[in-house]
Amino acid sequence: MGSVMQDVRHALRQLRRTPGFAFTVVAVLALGMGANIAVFTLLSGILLRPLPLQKADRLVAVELSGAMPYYTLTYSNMVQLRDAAGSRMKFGAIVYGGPQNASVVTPAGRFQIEVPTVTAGLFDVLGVRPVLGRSFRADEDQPGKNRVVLIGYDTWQKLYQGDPAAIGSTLTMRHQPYTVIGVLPQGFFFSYYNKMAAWSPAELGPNAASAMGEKARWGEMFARLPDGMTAQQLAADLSRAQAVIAREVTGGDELPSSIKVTDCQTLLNRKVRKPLFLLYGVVAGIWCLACLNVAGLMLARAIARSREHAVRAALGASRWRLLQESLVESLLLSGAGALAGLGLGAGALKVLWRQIEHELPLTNAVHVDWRVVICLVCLALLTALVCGVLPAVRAMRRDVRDALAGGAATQSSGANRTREVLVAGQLALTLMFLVGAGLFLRTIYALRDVPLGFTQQNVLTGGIILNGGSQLEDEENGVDRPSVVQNSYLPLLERLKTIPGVQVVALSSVLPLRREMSVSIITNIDHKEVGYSKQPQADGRIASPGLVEALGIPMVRGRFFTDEDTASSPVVAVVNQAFVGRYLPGADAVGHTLSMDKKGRFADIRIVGVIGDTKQTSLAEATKPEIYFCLAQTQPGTPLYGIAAAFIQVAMRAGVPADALRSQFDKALHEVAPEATTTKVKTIRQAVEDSYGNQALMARLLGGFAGLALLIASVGLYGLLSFAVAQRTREIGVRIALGAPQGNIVGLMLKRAVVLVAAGVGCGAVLAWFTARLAASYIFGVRPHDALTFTAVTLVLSAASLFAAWLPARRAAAVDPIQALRSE
Amino acid sequence: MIDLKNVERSYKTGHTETWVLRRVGLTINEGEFVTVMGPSGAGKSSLLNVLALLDDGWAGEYWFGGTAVHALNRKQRADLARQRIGMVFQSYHLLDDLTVAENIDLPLSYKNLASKQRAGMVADILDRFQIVAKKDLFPNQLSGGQQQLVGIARAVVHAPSLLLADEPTGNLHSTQAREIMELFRELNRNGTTIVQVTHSEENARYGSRILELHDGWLTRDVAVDSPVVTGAQ
Repeated sequence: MGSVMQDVRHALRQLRRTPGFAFTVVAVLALGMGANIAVFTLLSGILLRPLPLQKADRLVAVELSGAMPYYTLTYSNMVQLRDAAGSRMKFGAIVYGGPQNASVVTPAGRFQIEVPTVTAGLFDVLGVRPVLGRSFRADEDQPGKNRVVLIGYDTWQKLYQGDPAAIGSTLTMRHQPYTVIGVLPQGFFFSYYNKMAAWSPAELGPNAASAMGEKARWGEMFARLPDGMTAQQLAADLSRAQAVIAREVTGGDELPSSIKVTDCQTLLNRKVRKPLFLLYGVVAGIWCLACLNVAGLMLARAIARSREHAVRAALGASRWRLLQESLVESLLLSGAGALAGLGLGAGALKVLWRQIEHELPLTNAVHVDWRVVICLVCLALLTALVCGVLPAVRAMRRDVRDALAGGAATQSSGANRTREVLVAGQLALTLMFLVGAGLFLRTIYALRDVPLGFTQQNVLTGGIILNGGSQLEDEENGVDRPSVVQNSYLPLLERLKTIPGVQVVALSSVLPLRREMSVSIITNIDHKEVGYSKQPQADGRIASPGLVEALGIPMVRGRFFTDEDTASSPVVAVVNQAFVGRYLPGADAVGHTLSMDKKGRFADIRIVGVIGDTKQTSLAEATKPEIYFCLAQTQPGTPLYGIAAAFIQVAMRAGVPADALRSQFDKALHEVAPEATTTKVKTIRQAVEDSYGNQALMARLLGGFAGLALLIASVGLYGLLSFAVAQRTREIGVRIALGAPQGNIVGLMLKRAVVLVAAGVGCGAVLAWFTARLAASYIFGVRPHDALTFTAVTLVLSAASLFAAWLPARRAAAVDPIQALRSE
Repeated sequence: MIDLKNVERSYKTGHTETWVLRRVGLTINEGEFVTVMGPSGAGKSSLLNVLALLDDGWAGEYWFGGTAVHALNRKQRADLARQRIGMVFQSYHLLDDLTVAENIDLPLSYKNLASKQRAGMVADILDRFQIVAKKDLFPNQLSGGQQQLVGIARAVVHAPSLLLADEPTGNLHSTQAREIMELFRELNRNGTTIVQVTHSEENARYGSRILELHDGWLTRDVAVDSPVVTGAQ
């Protein structure tokens, strides 16, 4: 132990004496390990950390197994499955119906919170007990008893400043009083709901348990596996029951007859597993690059310290002791790099947090924890070993005679070759990163070139939540509330039109490339009866007149809605080209009828126009069929009124930059609907930028990593050649003294660099050829083996490398021969 | 103490084999002060490297105090060298990043000695060589003579029975060289066997025996006929 401490002291002293070397090594390692730690923190939080629930691995999600949109179970189907499974199985569910958020006012101010509605037994299934108050009673999801709410810990802190008197207080949400009965544990989150949530029981009377078709309630079902039962066994049991249910309920044609059981964590993170592992592969490559670079630097240092190692060996240092000395220094450097990397990683996550939160699930669980610390320690040890092994092996050499006699030059030629291999390795990895970055950059350019089908000029968009009661609740409670369309939306439209500079305003339940709302509807055309699963499906949208003008969407046939389309006029609809292409190919869609109901006004909806296709939620996906319904005709009691009442979006096109309209928009909304809140107010251009999503994040990250790699590899090559110049100063002096021109000396030094760059680029191209396939499913509009990308990055890397090599070569040509020869 | 029988050493360069030691037979008794002389390339340093156990590529027999060195493996040879041999270099080879005291402590740190014991031994040697005041200085703060003094202190701190010196005064001016040679003689009188390599006839007169090498062959082995008398110079 004493000898280790002695080596630590000596190593620290030596590093203090060579601050440039120490700083460079720590900085390179910090970059390599920081990137690793940042991505591992994400990976740990999203993929590895168990959900904050009791025995989270026994918690599973129950879904229908089949094509979309059939993943989602109806509540009545859940009840049937629950009954079939028997009492030993605990089930719970999040049940949709009405808005899942609300604006609440407390003495601390007004807050927007999420309000998921659940079955009374859900928290029992999750194994979560409130830290204050009580949980839901079994009957509290029954009509008349469900005006209770469990608030999240953060909600409690924000709304009540952590006051225990919150229990028993009344919280008004959507005009309804709810009694706060408990506070959930700190850090609790579930499904896609964040920590600012208040959980209330859904109203699940006998009607809900048997409702089918349009009246059905939908939701997500969760179960806790009993001891000894696997997810596969449960899936088999429930599939048997589902086969019977499907036959009995629908004649076997309409409902999928099998059930899929997935563990909860996988359900939430399955979409990001592959991208996260791909990203981890990228940062592992960056770490390799940093290690190669530092190993080269340390090897150069070991060459320079050959005499010291020889003296130590001559004075009796054993091989192990020399190894220990070398590894101690390597460990100190890697430890410092790890600490700096931890800071860098945390900083990177902070900088990118907005995008991360937007693109990834389970971000509540993302923070530095023991897994990250253990990963960091292992990484630091591995780094020390990888970077320290070459100099350590060199230091262990017992052939000390040459070194003592000053004949280390021949020994170092072998080490220099090793350093050349390390530099070529760095160049190869850099080319791979550059190719990756190039492919993602070209993806972004390709996405920018995708025809959107709408204009991006001066359009401001935003979501509006009125925070009134839901249609469902009103119906169940017999509340006859005035239409929000007449009382709020249409007045708001009129008010917004008066804002100076605004040319046209429209409301729509869905706007392009905004993902807040998605409604899939099933209809039939011209009253043709077909099987349930063969009925035309389309994205349902509710819009006011002016939408096509506001967004610049072309009318292909007929007309869009006008002020003549009112609550009393015949119900009309507009479809998009994709709808016509799929369900009315070759026909003129105008004049055909759609049915949303068996009888009444919505049983006979006339198609009056066809609009051009627009990009919907993703630029890379083909446009799906759409049906637009007129906002003015969406009145209480009509099929889509509940959706319109819950959420609407506004699109304002102006003659001035759209950003300038934000404050005027907020003011107008506050005047018309004081309780309303807005979501994601942004220009349509910003919405388009945001829709690049994962690709933009990957392009940014890979671009940054590739730049970093280019810098590290160039510095590595520069360092190698600088060292070679220093070693060959005498030889260069002799050559110059004998009349060698400057160009000859530069050429002499660059010759080796050219060979190295060629080797690095060649190996890198092969590496990139194989790894580019991994990115195939994430890129768009460019092939993984795109020749232009490969050529461009090869040129960039070669130019940067040769520039890095030229600097020391130029210095070599400037060597003063007298000085060089005297120094020997 | 040392017995060499038919020791040979050669280096291969391509197809050519260059001999640096040819069938060297030699006995050095305990307490002797031997000087190895000869022209450049005669094999002096090669012989010293063989004696110091820094070189493994020789052939023949090497007995060190009854131990058959030729039968030992590399680790056993290193252990033997660590315990019994001290080495003084022409270029001092002090480590620039260590203080005088730390440089002297270096060979002790490679033995299983308690740090207290090591500190005591370093303090003793600093005192004995009268360099206590310089113990915290770094090598570049010392003159050449002082650096060699530290080099010798480092070589003898662990009380080796054999002290090997390769041109110990090669980089020193005459006054410093005399001081160093006086020190060697005192060490020899206290029982340390010394083998030095030198070109200097003057330095050779501090020893008791002179060996001469030519082209790897041991050509002369004589006693010093007019040794330097202390205080006479």
